[in-house]
Amino acid sequence: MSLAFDETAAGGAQTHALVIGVGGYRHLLGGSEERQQIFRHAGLLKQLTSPPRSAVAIAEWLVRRKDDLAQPLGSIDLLVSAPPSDDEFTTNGLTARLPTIANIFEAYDSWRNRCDSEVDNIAIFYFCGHGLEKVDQHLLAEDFGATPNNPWTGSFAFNATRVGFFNCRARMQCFFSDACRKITSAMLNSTPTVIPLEINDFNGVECDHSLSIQAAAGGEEALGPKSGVSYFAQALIRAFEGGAARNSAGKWVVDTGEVASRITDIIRMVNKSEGFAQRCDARVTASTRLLKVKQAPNVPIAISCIPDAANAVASLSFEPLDLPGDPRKQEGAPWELEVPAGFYKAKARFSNGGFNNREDTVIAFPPSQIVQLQC
Amino acid sequence: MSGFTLGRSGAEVRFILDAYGNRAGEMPINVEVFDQELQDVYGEWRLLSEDRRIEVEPGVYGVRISTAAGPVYEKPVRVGGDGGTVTVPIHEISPHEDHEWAYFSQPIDPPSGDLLSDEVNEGLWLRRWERVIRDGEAVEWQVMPKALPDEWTVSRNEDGVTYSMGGARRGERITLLQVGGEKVPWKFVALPPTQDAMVLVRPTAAPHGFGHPVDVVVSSDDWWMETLLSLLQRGDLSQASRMDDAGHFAEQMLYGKVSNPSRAAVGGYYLLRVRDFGRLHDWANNLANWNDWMPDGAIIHAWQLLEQARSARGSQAKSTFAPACDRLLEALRRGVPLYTEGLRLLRDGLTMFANRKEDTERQARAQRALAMVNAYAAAADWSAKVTTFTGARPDEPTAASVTGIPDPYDSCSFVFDVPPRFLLDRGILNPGMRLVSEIEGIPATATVQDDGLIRLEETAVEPERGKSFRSLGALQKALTGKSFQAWDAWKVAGDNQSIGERVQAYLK
Repeated sequence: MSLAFDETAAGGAQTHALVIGVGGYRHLLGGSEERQQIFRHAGLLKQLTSPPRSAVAIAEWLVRRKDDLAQPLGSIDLLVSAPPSDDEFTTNGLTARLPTIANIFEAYDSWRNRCDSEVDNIAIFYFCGHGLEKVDQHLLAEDFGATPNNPWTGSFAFNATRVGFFNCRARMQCFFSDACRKITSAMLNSTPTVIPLEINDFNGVECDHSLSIQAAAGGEEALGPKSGVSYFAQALIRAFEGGAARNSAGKWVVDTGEVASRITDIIRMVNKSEGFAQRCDARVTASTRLLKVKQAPNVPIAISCIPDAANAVASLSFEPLDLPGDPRKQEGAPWELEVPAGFYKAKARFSNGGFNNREDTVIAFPPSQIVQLQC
Repeated sequence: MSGFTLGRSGAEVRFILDAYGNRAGEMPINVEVFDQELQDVYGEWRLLSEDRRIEVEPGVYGVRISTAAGPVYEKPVRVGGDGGTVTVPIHEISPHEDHEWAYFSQPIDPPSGDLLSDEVNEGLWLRRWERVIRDGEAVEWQVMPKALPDEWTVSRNEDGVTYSMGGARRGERITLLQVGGEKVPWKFVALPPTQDAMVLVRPTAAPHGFGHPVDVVVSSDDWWMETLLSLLQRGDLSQASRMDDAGHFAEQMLYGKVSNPSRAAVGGYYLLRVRDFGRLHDWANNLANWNDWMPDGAIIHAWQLLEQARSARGSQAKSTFAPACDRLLEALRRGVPLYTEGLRLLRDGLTMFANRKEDTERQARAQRALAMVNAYAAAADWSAKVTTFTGARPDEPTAASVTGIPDPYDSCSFVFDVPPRFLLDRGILNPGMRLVSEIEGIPATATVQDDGLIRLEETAVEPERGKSFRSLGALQKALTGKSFQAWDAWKVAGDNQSIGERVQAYLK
C-alpha cells in the first residue's frame, strides 16, 4: 500500500489522515460500467467532478501545513475517483487509490491502526462524494450499485463509523463528512442497512477531544462548483488558515471548538453567491488546539455603501487604525479585499456630492467582516 | 438604559445598550475587550441590565458584544482624550419587541420576509400532547383537550406569533407542541416544563423546498440556562466555558435538580460535553431517580457510567456496563428526551450496546430500543435545541411528510388565520353569505363562494373588484396592504358580531 504522504518512520505522536473523494461512480449513470439500478433513486445519481478535487485540496493543504499541526503530519492515505469524462482531473502527483468499498475498508483499518499507535496522535477523516440519510448518513463508495439488489453494500454509515472509531486510543479525532443528507421517497419505505467501517463494542467510549462536522444539515445538500473544490472543503481550509483562529497569549491558534462554532459562517461566506445558505452540523467535545497560525490571519472584508446608488460613485479607502501604513484605495463599490486581522478605518468619499462622506472604524476579526457605510 | 464604562475616571467611554424592554435586561450578554493584536483583555458574561466598569489604560481597543446567537456589535474604540458615549442598538437584532427573547436566546436566522398569511401557511394549527403516567409508569401519549390553556397569552403578527405560557408550572410530565398545516408537515417540539416559557411560530428563513417551512422557537425564561444550551448546541464551547467559570455554573445547575430538573439536565449535558466528569458527582444518578418522568437524567447518568467503565479495568468495568445500558433503556421507556443533545446521546449509547456481544440479553433489548430511537433520529431536526421531529403522533415519528388539518379538530388552535373552507364545513360561514367591511375609509362587500373562496363584490379599489381570494386575510391585504386582524374588520351583513368574534374559538 502506498500512502500519499508517509513520514511514519519518524515515530512519536503524529497526525494521520484518511482522505476520500468519490466523483466517479462506475455503476451509476455515466459510469464506466453502468448497471441498471433497482433502488429507485440510485439510477438518478450522477457522476461528480468536485469530490476528487476537494479531497486533493485537503490532502495538499495538510502537506503544506504539516509542521503547523498540533502533532506533525505522519501520513495521508488518499482515495479518489473521477468521472470517465473528466479528463482534467489530476492528483497533482499525490499517490492515490480507487475508493471502492473494499479499498475504503482496508484503508480505514490501516489508518485506524496508525492512529491507535500513540494516545497523543491526531486522527483526521475526510469524505466527499454522494451521501443519503435515513437514521444514519450513508456515504457511497466508487462501486456503489455493484449489486443492484442491495446497493447499500457499496456504502458505509458515517455516524456509526464515528462512534466505532471511539475504540481508537488517539485522544483527538476529527471527522468530516462533505456529502448530502437528503432522504429519498424510496428510502421512506425501507431502511438501508447501516454498515459502519468499525463497530464500537466498548473498547472505548468518546475520545477526549472530538470534532465531527457534516457539511450539510439534516435533510439538506452539500454543494460545490463544477470541477472545483466543494464549498465545505474551501470553508474547512479557510477555517484552518485563520478563519477560526484567535489570538491566545500572543500566538494565533486554531482550536477545534472555534472550527465547530464558525464553520457555518465561513461556508456562507464562501458560497454567498449561491441562493441557498448551506448549514453545517458541527459537534465538538472538549475543545483543544488543532494547529498554529504563523501570523495574524488575513481577514476578508466586503465594503459597500448605503444607499445602493452610492456604490458606483464612491471613492473608498481602507487603512490601519493608528498604525503606519498606506491606505488601500478603490473607486466604486462593493469592494472585497483581505487584510491582516486588526483595527482599521474605512472611508467613502464623494467628490461630486450627492452623498455624504463617511468614515467608520472596523475590527478585522476572523472569519470575515462586512462593512456598510451609511452615505 | 444599562451599559458599561471602559477606561478609568477622566479617560473613559460609556457604552449604552439600547434594547426594547424590561425582558431584555434579563438576558445574558458577553462583553469582550481586545487589544490591537486582538488578544483578550477582558471577557465576561453578565446580564444586559448590569452596569460595569472595565478598567483599561488609554488606547485603542476592540469591543465585542455577543448574545447566545453570536456577536451583535464589534467595533474599535479609542479610550482616553475626550471620552464619549457609544449607543449600541441591540434592539435591532429583532423585528419586534415580542420576538426579542428568541433572537437573544438562540441562533436563529433573520426574518425571511415570508409571512404567516402566505398561502403555504394557510390553515397552520397547533395542539399539545402529554405523556400520560399511571402508577409511576409512562404509558401513552394523549392529545390535550385545549391547545392553549387559559393562562397562555398570544401575540399575533404576520411574521410570527408568540405564545407566552405564564401561570402554574405544567407538572412533571413531557409535553410536546405539535404544529402542522394543509401544506405544512406536522412536527413536534418539546416544551420545557418550567413555569414561564415562550414559543415563537414563524415562517422559516430556509428557501422553499429546503427544510421545514415553519420555525418553532422554544425557550424557558431561564436565560442563563438557555444561553448555555444554545452555545452547547452550536458547538461554541469556548464561549460556554467563559460563562463565569462555566463548569461551576453548570455544576450548580445540576445541583438544583429538585427545583428545576430541566435546568439540571442542561448542566449535566454541558459537563458531559466538556468531559468534566468530576463535577457530575452523584447528582446525575439523583436527577434520574428523582424525576422518573424525564428521560434526560437517565441518559446523562448512563454516559457517566460509561465513562467510569472506560476508566475502570476488568470486572469493575464489566459491572458498570449493565447499569449504563439499563439507564438508556429506561430513558426510552420514559419517552423522548427534552433536549436534542439527549436524543443524540441516547442513539449513540444504544448503538454501542446493540453491538456488544458479551451480554446478549441486553444486546437484544438495545437493538429493539435502537430501532425505535432510529425512527426519531430519521425524523429529527438536529439543529434544534429541544427535541424536534416530524410525524403524525409522538410515538410515530417519520421523515415522510404528513400534512392537513386533524380530524377531529377540537383540540387544535389555528396559529394565524382560519381557512374559510374550514368555517364553511362547520357552518360558521355559509355559501352565499354577504360580508361587509368595516375597514376605515375602505368600504367593501364580499360573498362567500361554494368553494370557500371569498369574492370581492363592491369596492372603490378598482383592480380588485370581482376577484376571488382564498381568505379574508388575502382580500384585506389586496385592499389595504396588510392582512393583520382581517377577521375583526369584517362582519356578516345584518349581524352585529364581527367575523373575528365568530372565529375566536378556533384561535384559542
